[in-house]
Amino acid sequence: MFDPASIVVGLEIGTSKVCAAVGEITAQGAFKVMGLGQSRSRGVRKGEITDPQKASEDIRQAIADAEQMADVEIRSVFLGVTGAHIRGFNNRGIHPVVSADRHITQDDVDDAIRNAKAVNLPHDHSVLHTIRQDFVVDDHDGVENPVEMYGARVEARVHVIHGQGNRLQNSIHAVQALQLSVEQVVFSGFASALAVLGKEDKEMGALVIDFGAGVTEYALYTDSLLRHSGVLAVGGDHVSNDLAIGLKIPLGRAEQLKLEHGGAEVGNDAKGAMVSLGSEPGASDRQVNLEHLRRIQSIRLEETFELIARDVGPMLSNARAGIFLCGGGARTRDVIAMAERIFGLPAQIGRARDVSGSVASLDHPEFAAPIGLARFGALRLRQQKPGTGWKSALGNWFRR
Amino acid sequence: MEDHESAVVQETETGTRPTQDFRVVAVGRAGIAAMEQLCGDATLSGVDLIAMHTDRDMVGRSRATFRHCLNAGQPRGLGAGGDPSLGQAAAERESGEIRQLLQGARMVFVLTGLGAGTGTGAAPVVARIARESGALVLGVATLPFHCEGRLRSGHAQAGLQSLKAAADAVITVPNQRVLSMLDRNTPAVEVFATANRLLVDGIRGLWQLLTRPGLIQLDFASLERLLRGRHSESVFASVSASGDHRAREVVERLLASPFLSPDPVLASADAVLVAVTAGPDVPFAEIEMVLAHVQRQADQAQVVTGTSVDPALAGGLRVTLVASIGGSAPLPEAAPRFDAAASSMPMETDRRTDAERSVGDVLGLGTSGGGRSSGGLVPPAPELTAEQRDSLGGRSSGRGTVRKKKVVQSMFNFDVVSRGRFEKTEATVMNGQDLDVPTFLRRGIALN
Repeated sequence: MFDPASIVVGLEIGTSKVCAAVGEITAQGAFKVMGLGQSRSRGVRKGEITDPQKASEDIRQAIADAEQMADVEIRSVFLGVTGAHIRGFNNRGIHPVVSADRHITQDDVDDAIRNAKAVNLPHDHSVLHTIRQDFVVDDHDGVENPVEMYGARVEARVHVIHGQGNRLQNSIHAVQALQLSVEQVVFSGFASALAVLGKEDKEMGALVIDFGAGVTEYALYTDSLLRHSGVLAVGGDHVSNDLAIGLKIPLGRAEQLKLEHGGAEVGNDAKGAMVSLGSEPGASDRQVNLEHLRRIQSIRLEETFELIARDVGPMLSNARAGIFLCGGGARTRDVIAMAERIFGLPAQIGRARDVSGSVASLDHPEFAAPIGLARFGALRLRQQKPGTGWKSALGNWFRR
Repeated sequence: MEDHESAVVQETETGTRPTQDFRVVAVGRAGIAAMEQLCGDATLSGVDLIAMHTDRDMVGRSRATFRHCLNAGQPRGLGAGGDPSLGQAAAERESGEIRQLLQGARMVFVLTGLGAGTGTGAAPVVARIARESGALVLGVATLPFHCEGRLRSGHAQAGLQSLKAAADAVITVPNQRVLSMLDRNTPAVEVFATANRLLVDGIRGLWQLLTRPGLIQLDFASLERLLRGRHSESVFASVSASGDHRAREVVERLLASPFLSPDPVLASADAVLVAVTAGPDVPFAEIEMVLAHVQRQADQAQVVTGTSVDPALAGGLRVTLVASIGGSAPLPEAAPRFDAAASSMPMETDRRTDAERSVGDVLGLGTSGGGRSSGGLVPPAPELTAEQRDSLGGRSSGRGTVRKKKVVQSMFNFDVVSRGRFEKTEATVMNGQDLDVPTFLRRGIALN
């Protein structure tokens, strides 16, 4: 049987689905996905729990599914959180080196990072992650690790992701109610980036967009460092809702039409074409204009991408590896072409990388976040176990 | 005065025609008396004043720029003698001349006192002609005192009905309410002067609103959109205050105004026009407070606001408010008839058959003199329904000026787009836009 200590579980309570990914750290230190469990999500809107009861039921279902598939017992999870309240920003902390010889020690670095963490947040917000970027030693930019260097002043740059405490607690409580412990809460957008970006992608710079049902998360890496992150509370639900209003059809039908006939660009085949709603007993067969459907969807997606592009700002041009789209929205027809057009960068569907496992659906873009969460857990585990090789190299990046 | 006396005319006195966009037509004795206050007011230089009456002497004495004497068919140019049917017939007969007087106007105020002959009978006709020539027509009318008797009240209510049907909106100033706002010891002359002043203030306030460059400009178009085709009955209040607590005082006075106070007029109004004129030194916060208060009171209504600065009003605030109630369903264009017989019997006891109500009766032919020409045919007006008659009769027998209580049917507000799936979630507002509202709606992209 497996060593329970080597099992990590990522749980994402999404707007359309609850998904749990069970990962294992093999004896060789590789990360392997053993199972995925999922369940339809009913108690979540815009990435946040609105009906704790239903959410708990769905979480139980997803966990049970994952346990069965991976043949393990799940006791704790790394929990993904998202929502419009989560924000990321860059901060810096300065520490003067006091020793006589200006020799920078680990303590100096820790102090600088501590100062960087002392951020001015809204009173009800708490910090999710403080992710180390790089250091400045006496105006010398881009120092990876200043320990053992000489200087008068160490400045630590960090990326801080924070969210409203009470709203984070909603997710934590829903999980704890099922007698599962929460190892750590992790921003889902960060987890997705962790899953889909390889080392080279991070080096070249990449923007990961997780286009979910309720919210869209994004994270920008340049020079291997997380530079920007954010959440836009617009997702696939908005597309469906737009279609329901615009085409005057029920929301369920809109969802179904979106999946069957939707597309990010109107396309020549849609001009003047009609699609059938599919008749149900007692109702006459209705037809809707495919061009209208695509146009409504296209306008919404275009706006969403434009909002993200505006939020990320000029740093976007440093993302030379381009755009990585994951989440259910990445399956939209022509969405890659639209992303390339709006961001002016190459785009591709983000798939979980460097993950081995027997599960067939590993490379589906919608599982990026749960796999990323499990991977985050694996990295934390390695960090806690001393002497596992490249722990110090990677694990430190995710120190909270 | 004397030279006017000699210039008594049958037709329009001056050779020229009115040319201004805004015209005030005073119909009948009360209207002309009220308009005298407008004559010689330099601020109203852009308004053509037109006096119209069946009494030749009265027309002659008026200082209005344009005067027109209606021929009621009575010998020696006497008035209609309190018979609305005579006034109506006279106006119909001379509709051609009236039309010429109103040609080209953008807005016509029909200023009249309801209850007697000419105003009650002719004003709806004038209003109808003005509307036919494309103007926005606002009736401004006094209603008689209770003590003037049931007959006059009945006439006034019937006249008000037809004026409402003909004009885009009617502002009423019930004299009884004027009386209630004055001290008991007020001399009679002053009571009438006050009523007249209120009428005129309404016109003057609106005129200034439309012409004076405002900070929040209230233009003719917005007034027109607010009133056009409503056929509503409106109430009007104009109050001013100065001093330290002017903003609060002006709101208190406005709400205590006799035309607004007893009924929850503002709460039930569907269109409210409110204009604040402030002295140059009044902070905007006070104007804002006044407007916000009115908005709060009239939360069901479509509120149009205007703000302007009047240097003459240093340190003071003046609020002019027009609230119109009901009347969203256009009433039939034609006026209810004035029964000659109604002068002898209350309406609810009118049990004559339709056959007895001859056309001649309607026209008042039986009482008219020989001056009636072929042009005097009045299009037969529709019968009052039993309901209307009851309501009219009930009004004349009870409190003379009780406003007709309408069953208000609430309407769905179709402008609000349902938030659909996001009904119970926090709105996603970014850059002032609610992202939950479909993008194509926010960007106004038409499908088709």
